[in-house]
Amino acid sequence: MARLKDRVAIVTGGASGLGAATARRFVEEGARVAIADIDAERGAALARELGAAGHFVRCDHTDRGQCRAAIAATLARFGALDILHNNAGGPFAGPVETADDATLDRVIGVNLIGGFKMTQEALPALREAGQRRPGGAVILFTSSLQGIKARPNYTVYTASKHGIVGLVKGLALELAPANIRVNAICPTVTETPMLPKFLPGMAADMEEARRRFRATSPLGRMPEPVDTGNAAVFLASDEARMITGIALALDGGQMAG
Amino acid sequence: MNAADPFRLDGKVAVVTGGGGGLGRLAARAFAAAGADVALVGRTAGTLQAVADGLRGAGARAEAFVADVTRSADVNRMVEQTVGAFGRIDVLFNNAGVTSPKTAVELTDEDWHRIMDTSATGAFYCARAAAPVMMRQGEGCIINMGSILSARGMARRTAYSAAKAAVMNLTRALALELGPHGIRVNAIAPTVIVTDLNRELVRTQPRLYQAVVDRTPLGRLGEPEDIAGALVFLASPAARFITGQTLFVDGGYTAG
Repeated sequence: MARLKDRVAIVTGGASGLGAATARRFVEEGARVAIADIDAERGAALARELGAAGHFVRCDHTDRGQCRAAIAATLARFGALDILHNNAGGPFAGPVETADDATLDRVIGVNLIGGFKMTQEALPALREAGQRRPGGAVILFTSSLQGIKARPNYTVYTASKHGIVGLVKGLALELAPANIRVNAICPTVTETPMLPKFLPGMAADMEEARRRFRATSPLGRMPEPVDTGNAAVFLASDEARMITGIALALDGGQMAG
Repeated sequence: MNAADPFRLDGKVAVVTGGGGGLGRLAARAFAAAGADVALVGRTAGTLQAVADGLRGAGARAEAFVADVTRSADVNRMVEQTVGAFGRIDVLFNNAGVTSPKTAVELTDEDWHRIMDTSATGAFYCARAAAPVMMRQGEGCIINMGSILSARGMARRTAYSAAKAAVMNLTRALALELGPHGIRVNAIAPTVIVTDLNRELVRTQPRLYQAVVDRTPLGRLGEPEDIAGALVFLASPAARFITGQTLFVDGGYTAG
């Protein structure tokens, strides 16, 4: 397994959940990975687990200075940057009236603006990688199934995740001449530590919540974090060299119907 | 899931229709390289045998079965032969397709039906015949050949555009119906791919293809190798939660 041999990646929100699964899969495929996260304890623990191929960088990607510092730290540690996975994000559920100004700023800031800032700060290094590697550089975003469909009471979250898909298409067109591919992964509700926060009304009965989510897929199950990790490996690899500007749904067929 | 490498297809049996054509050969080689046994399906025995011989020479198990995917009796027999030879069908790649550069007004009844029947009806016939085999196994995977013209139209490609849009929605409906049986159904939707069959045309008449290149952010036509990884990914356990999707391998054509 060497689909990402000699590549250097940053995974934001890499300390847990989908980001951690992706960081582990990237390392299994030969990459070195900087885990950028606000959770220093879990981030450092994962970096230790990954050994020499892992490095933790504390980073709140809503702060441009911290984005810049995280990229500088990655370049200092690993010498290059080939893959930026903008994965960090946060939930918000509730009727539209309950989203106050602070919530709006936080959800749009964490889910959309943060990845935008991180991308801008990473571009000098990614452009260099696009020139250096025939296979080019890669930017991935973790959007959501709410990036291509809506659910009631998730309106702000849905807007932020739709925003990512628009960002991905725009970046794909703009950065193709620099040999940088840009794609989004759109997973449905996955078993992660964030799961109860997505389902505030159902937190008391998580088994019922899981049963309902399993029923949304004709495959009759929920995805696991490693499924996002495997999709990220594929899209980051040179095997996806002609894929850019897509939003790949990991939904077990929900959007088919 | 194969803990060692979720992108492998060891022990799987893959059926490739249009197996003698440029993309079919590429797909067969890609599936075999990932560890699968391959059944090549097409109308011309000699071409199929040559591909099968090549795969065997590289160490894979391969068989050639002559069938016209527009004839359901042929398709049903091909599925029986594949199960007879290999015992199962894990991956069905509905690759067969034809097109015509005629205008809509010039297209004859025969042209229209040939194009629709090969891409859309053929994919349906093959899926209908292979699904019971996959249901008995409790698992399987169907990959249909879409196109950028599954989601966009193109002048002088009227029938092909209609057929490839049909393929995309056939993919969705089959995914819903077969999902409970553990069968995933997806499509890949490439841009124009340069193969041995059209390479000379691309070289000598680049104007025919320039409009596609100009609209493609990555600035080139596709090469067979561009879709090999996507096919193996969709067929493999790495994509075990992906179904009903049309995966565009188009250099950004449909993003803009």
